[in-house]
Amino acid sequence: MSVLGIQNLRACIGHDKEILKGLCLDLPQGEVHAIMGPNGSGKSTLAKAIAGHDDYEVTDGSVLMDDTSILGMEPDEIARMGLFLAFQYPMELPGVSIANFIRAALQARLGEGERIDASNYYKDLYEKMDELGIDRQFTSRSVNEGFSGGEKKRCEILQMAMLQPRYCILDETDSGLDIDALRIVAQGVNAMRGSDRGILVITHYQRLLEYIVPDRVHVMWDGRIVRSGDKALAVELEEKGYDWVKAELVA
Amino acid sequence: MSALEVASSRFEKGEGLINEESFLTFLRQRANEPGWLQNYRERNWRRFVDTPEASRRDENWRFGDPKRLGIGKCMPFQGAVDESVASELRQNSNLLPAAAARIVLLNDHCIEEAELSEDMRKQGLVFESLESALLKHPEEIRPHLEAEESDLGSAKQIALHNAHLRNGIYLRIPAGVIIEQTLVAYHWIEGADRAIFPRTIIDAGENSAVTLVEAYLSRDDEHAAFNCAVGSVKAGPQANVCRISVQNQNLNTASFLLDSNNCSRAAKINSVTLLMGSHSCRHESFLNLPEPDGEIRLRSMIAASGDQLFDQRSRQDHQAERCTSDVLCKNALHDKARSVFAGLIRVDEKAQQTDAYQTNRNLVIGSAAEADSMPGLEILANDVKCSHGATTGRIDEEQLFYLKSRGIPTETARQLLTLGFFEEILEESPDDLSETLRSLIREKFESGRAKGRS
Repeated sequence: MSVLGIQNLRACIGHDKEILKGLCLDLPQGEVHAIMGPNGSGKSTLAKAIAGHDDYEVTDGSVLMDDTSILGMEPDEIARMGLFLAFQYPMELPGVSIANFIRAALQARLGEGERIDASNYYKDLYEKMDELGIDRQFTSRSVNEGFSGGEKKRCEILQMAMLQPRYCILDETDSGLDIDALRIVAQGVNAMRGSDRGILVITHYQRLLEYIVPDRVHVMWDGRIVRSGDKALAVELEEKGYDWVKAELVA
Repeated sequence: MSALEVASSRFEKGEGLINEESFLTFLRQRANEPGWLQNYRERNWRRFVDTPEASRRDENWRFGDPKRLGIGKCMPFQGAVDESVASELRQNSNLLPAAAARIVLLNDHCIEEAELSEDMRKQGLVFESLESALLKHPEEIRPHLEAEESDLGSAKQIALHNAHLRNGIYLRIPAGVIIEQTLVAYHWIEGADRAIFPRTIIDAGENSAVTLVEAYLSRDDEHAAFNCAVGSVKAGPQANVCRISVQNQNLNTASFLLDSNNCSRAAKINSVTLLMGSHSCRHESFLNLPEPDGEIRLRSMIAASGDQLFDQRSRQDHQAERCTSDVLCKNALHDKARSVFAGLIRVDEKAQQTDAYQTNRNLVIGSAAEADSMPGLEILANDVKCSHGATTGRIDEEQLFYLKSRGIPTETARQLLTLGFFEEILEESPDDLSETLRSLIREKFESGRAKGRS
């Protein structure tokens, strides 16, 4: 089945501090899901643990990408299998140009002896840059170095569009964006919706979900999904605040 | 025993083949030289003999390793050049195919003189092998050789060089002449136990401009060799000189690159080096600013692997007002490679409004690699802007994760970050050259790396 399936996931940072406490979530291809939750509920940890960051130790549970377990794999293997993580805080890579960076990522997906066709590559790259309103001169600029918040996030979406992953996790892609940048980024994400792709949007605010309308909304609290519903849940959450979830949980 | 160990043990035991007798033979073979040159050689030989061996205890050799840089049993090659080898090397002298003119030297023999364009000749440009220059206009070369020398610890090697120098590059640009295209020179070493002593002299007249690229290369991987190259740049008033040196000799070579840069009033010198070959390399660089408004920039890249040692010393000497000097040395160290950086900014009392910067950045990649850094300031003027800084760091784990999260394997990710580390220097180089330098570094860290491993 084409699903990113997370079962009973428990993960710690360091040795003892458990952040994910038995999280369950299925992200099927063809759907957009949103995770909402207050600061410290473990949203970013979830994204990084799935992507294979070695600061996080998974102590229990499973993560299956189309029935293949990806736990314990190197981050680059997981990415080549089809996962893409858009970072909340994309790293600056001094001296590594966007063009070379994306090219190396595409090259890594080819078999031995296969090379990327440079002219097709640039054609594709420029087309996607135009769609995202990124100046073509950016291709020779160092990745994220000296970029504004909006430029960084657009650059993440550009990478996603070029790599065509099967599952995407967008970690707080709306943070640091003004309304215009938010629209462009959302357009870019919407353009990538399709039956062969599952997208998980992690966000604080309902605002982003006005532009990227999710099929399912999950509320995360203290390392677990505590409530799931359709897009109306996001609106309800925005109106009542996270205290409402907390109160229900206690009751 | 590796070639390196053989070389250093012979050197320690005083078994080096260069000795009084070999020098006198060398001198006799050159009896038809001008008297001043023979005297110059004898004087320098004496100096070589009288100068004590450098020791690690000397301040100028702190953290260095003079024994690794011994000449061993290497000797200057006096025999005839094998034409088939010469022709092969002419073909392989292809670092910069678009260069306007090139000179190719093999074991200090010139195997190709530059073909200058009609234009360049009319403008009075001289770009020829030093041997040819010494024959044609010895009195013009004489003051360059006899000029007072300073050293940063390698006085003995400079004396040895002067006693044995035979060839090199002579580049003179008349006042007002601007050479837009790049000139290039190749210094090849071929055969077992060769020593070369190439001398580069750049003399740029007032308001002139020129760019020279020099490559120090070996024909084969296995033979032991000794390179002792001395270079001097003299930039006349408002002249603009760019000199780029690439050292990619084999891993059985001990290599000295001893440079001095002399900047006249309002002149500019831009010196760029890429050092990545030899088992041990010592680079000394003098930045002399005796007249007002001069500007010298030194940009150095060291790409090291295996058990290579790179020992780099620089001195920024400000003697006049309103000069700028800027040293940036970036070293990437794989495996158990080592680098030493020692820099001194010296600002004379009368050198007010000096801008002097000195930065050493080390990217330590190998778990047993090591970088030593000794920046220094000696400032006697009170109205100056000076800064020095040294940083040593490993590849950032979060950057690595970011690259890997895009599917890029760890080794490729490291290479991208390492090349990125050099990029701020590479992007300043002329376009066709920067791409060449980039691929040299890439090659070294891809395949050449395995070679460098012991």
